[in-house]
Amino acid sequence: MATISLNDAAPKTDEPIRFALAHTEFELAAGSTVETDDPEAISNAETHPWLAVETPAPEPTNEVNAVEVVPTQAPAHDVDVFPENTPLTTDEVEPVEQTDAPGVVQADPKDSE
Amino acid sequence: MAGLVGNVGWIMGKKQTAKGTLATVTAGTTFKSALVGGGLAPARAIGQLSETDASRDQGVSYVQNESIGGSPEIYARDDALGLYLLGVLGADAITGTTPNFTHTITPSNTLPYISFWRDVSDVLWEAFQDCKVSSVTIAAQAGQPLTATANIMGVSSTRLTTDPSTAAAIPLSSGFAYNFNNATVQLGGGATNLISSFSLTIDNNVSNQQTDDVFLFDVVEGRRQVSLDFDLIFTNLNEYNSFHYGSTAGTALSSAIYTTSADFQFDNGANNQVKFTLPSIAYSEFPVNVNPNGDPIVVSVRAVGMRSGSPIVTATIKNQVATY
Repeated sequence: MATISLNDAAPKTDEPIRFALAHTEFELAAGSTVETDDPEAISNAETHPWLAVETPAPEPTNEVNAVEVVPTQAPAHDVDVFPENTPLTTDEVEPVEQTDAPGVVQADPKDSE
Repeated sequence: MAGLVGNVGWIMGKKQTAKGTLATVTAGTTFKSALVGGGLAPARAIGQLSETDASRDQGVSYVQNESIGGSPEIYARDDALGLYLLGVLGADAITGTTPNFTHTITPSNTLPYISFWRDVSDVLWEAFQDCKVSSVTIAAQAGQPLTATANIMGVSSTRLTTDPSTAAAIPLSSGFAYNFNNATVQLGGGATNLISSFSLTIDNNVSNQQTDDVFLFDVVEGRRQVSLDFDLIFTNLNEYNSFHYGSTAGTALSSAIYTTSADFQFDNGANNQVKFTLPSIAYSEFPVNVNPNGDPIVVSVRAVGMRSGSPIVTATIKNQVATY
């Protein structure tokens, strides 16, 4: 619910000022307010040079089953996900033992028989 | 059967309470104007099937849509003119007490729907519903009456069998027709009598929306543009220098946009007035040329309203209309 009132730019008159904002019509005197939840009326009032619009901040929900959404945070590219690791030196690298095993396993149609 | 005269007719308008509801014709809030030119009418878009056939003849016709459109032009009288300015700007703040009121009409984000009716030679009457004023051009030249041309777009029409203005006895607007001789002009906050014509256009760029029917779903406002053209008798270099060279005494080309203000006020006594206030305009053209035939130099200035002006344009109408 937004509250609409006259702002300082509005003329100071004894009689209330009548407003027609597209299809929304109302009267306002100094110190008086009107309330509306019509988004079109609020939008038009916000652009009017003589009107001030106050919209209360949304209150936090008290629902028990409310789901709190926690945004995920992707790691930066240069983040070491294993910080205990340190780069290997050549002394720490052991040669791989050569075997006779083929490096590539190929499917053999006969195996399925 | 005799032919029908061409100069019998009018256009009448009233703001609707909401979309989809034709306004009720009532005295005091419905305004009937004689036409200077143009008009408002149903517009039928026709297409033709494009297919082969046993002959070379063109394809059969079909109806694409039926909309309402037109650009009625009226003399600027401060009662009916307010309706068109409210239609094109959207917001009206009314001060004053009976019988004298001041309407301060400013831009809003949405526009009101307006019902219009027309009379053609007292035999054709039509009602046009859910219309919006897409643009209004107010123009006048030295010694000439002020005219308002409204580009109107609407959703649906109905043909009437009787005059819709008779029951409520709506009079034809016949008050004072403002003339450029009634103008008081200010440029940059100072009075000037060097302007010999002006044309102010407020354009909402309304567009049609059609969905699954022959008539439109809606007419919707788009980007608002305000432009001002005027003829300025060339007497000094101040405005020219400011436009090209950054200041009244400038000599070096400037990349800065020169802005100024413009007010055009037309008075008919203390309680009747039409005024346009543009707090910030930027020139887009300021051509200064010699005339081989010896005519004095008159600069046809073109300018656009700047968003920094808040609001970009204000129309103030003083009249005896309590509400539109």
